Amino acid sequence: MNNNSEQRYQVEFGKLFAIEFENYPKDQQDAIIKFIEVFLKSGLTDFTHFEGKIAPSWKGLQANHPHYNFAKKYNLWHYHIGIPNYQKSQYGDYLTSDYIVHFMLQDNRMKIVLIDTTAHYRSDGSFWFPRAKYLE
Amino acid sequence: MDLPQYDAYIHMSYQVTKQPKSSYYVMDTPIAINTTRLNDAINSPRHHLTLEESATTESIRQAILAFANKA
Repeated sequence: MNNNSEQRYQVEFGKLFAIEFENYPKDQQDAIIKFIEVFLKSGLTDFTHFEGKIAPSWKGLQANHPHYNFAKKYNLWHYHIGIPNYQKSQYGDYLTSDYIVHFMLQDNRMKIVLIDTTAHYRSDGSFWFPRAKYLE
Repeated sequence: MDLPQYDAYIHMSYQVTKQPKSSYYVMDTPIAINTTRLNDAINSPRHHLTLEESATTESIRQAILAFANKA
């Protein structure tokens, strides 16, 4: 994938992310790996390289929202991984999905730290969580 | 049964915009963030994906799985 002798873009992930990743179905693993591969090749300078939508996680929140400062502090972004499938957004020329991967964007956009994969907000407020044993 | 009689009508006015948003930065709906869960993940030990591990799809997968099972 990365044919350069030097690694320009960097990817890190934590223990919890890796443990949860192990329990994901293969298509979900593949979707995340595809995101990693595109980032390693192209970085985040041009979002059109990515099939799904990328957005900073504080956008759309009011500045007084309790999550706004948290997302901003950690430069928390998310990418729509296409699980279970992609749907064309009604707002623009990009694709969204129910599931997203959270990541921190660091080092002047040269590094991402993969954090977590969760469901996107739904109208009923439901949220998907892995069972506790996945986190042990 | 007599039908109710109305001497007025409801006037509805609405506006629909079809203007596409020009930026990826616009979210469909705000996401729900579980800060406790994310804090745990943010503070957990990290693995840096090496150049060798980044070589193929399978090597990336194996690198993540290996870190998951690292003592």
